Amino acid sequence: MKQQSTSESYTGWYLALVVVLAVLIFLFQQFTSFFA
Amino acid sequence: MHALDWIVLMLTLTGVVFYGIRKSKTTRDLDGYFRSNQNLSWGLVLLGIMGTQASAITFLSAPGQGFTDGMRFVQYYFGIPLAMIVISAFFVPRFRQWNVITAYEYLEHRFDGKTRTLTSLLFFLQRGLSTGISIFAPSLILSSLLGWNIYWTNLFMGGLLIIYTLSGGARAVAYTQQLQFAIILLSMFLAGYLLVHLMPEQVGFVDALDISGKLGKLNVITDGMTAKGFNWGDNYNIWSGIIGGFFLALSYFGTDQSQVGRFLTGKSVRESRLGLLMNGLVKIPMQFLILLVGALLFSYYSFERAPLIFNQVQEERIQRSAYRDSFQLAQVRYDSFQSIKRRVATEYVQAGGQGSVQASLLIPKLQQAQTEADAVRKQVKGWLNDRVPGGDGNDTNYIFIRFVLDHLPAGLVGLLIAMIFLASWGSIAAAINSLAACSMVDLHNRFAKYPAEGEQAYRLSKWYTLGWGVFCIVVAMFTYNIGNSLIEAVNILGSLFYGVILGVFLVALFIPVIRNATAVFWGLIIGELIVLGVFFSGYFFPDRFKIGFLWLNPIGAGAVVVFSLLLSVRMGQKNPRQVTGIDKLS
Repeated sequence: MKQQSTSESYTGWYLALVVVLAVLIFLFQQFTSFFA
Repeated sequence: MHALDWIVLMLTLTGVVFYGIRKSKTTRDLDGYFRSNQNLSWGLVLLGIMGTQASAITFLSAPGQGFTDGMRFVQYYFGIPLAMIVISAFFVPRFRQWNVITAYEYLEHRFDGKTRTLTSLLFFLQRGLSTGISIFAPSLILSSLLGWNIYWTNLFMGGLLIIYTLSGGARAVAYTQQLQFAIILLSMFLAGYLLVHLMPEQVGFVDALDISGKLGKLNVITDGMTAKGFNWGDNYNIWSGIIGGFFLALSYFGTDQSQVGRFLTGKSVRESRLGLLMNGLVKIPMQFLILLVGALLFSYYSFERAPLIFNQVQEERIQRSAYRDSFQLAQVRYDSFQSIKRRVATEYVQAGGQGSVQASLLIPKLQQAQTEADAVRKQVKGWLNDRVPGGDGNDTNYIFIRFVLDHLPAGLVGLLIAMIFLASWGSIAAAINSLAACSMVDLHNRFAKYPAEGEQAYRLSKWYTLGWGVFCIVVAMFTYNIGNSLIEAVNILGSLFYGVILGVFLVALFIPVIRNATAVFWGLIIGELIVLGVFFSGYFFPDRFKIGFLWLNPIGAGAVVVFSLLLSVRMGQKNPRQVTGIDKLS
């Protein structure tokens, strides 16, 4: 059975995704209120 | 269609088919055919994931949604980045560790054969039918607008892709998705650019956004609150998007074989993970831009004459019905409100638009004209839905393509129509490939007396691919005869099963204490009954108990987890073999 390494850390990536989502929601909120 | 459009369309489609055939070389076994020997880079994995999710309807419907309901539809995708994290951290390593070809194979390692077979069968039911619909839906739109024969359109929409899907399996699907996606993005960019370019000279990009925003189309973030509190029936607000969308994305990307089959082609755990994580980064901005095209289209039609009904076939139908005179009167009223809107919008821009006090005084007039025009459109759509025989008032999917056909130059029309075919092919090819994988791995080799291996399994897989391709085209042909009821039924079907399948995977991956396979199997059945109960309560009593379909996913997943836990406590831990499925990476 193929065993693959899973030890590499992806915490930075996961954090980046959460931050990007938060930033996008913030920007979308600003966009919505600016043109409302 | 202009001759140049036909040339562009034919060249693009045949080019993609030949490219797919050229990229078909893999080993002649199950690993080569269904996982491309696990040798693809994260970029191909990413485009495979995106190309599988985005069907033709995505590119037709999203601008239409932006036009009619505004940009709040983008919130539907807010759960994706979070789901990508969970899939990347927990699903990918487990699937890779067990070296599975299908997601459901893992469930046998963790639980037992009947749980694997049941989830696999639910996948066949849902994916097999919905793929037929995803052939039919864009075919109907093109045949309505261009006067093409629906059966031939279905055949081209669902047939040509079988050539490369059959010949090269997952590898050909991945490489063609890469090319298809490049063509799709180029076409959408050109359409968006020309849309702004075609606006009146004094209307710039920001003015166009401004008009759209003042008329409620740039409502990207909504909170779902009404005077009576939170609206559970509203699918597109920030909470349903993040919570409901998270569970839907977790289920779709983590347990639907059409997606699992894409990220299992990655050449390592790292490549599979990066493909998924990048999808989490780029999906929301991409959908935002597609919806923005719809919002800009709305601005465009604030300065140009807009059709009252964007689907010409329906317009002709109402003209031939008893509502002919009423429709003509409605058209006159609609035109007059539009002409007021056009005049006020022009004055608004000339007065300085956003930030100008003089311009802000015109906003109530603009909104009034829009409300009046919307009321006429709603009335006509109501006639089509309820009173005109064979009528269908929903023209959201026709708005963008009608603009393309009416206003874009020759050549580009052909490219945009090719884009619709290619967007369809990307998701249909992945679906057919995954249906064949499950047929071969989860059913044939699981139940055959002598499971097929090597070259024999490869040849059988090709037959299954052909079989599913033909099945989906037949479903598309039947859908034309049965009509909208089938489309609605299939769409509902998906939301009824996704949550509970996810629940089984959540138990498998996150609750090692549940070891009794029978408890999980019955947990799944009870979870499904609860989802059906909630759905039908909303269906029969919409006034008292209406709940948006996105919420069915967390309800289904939660019910399976809770009942599996309760039943496993009640039944005890009987089945020792499943423990191996979870403990290796712990």
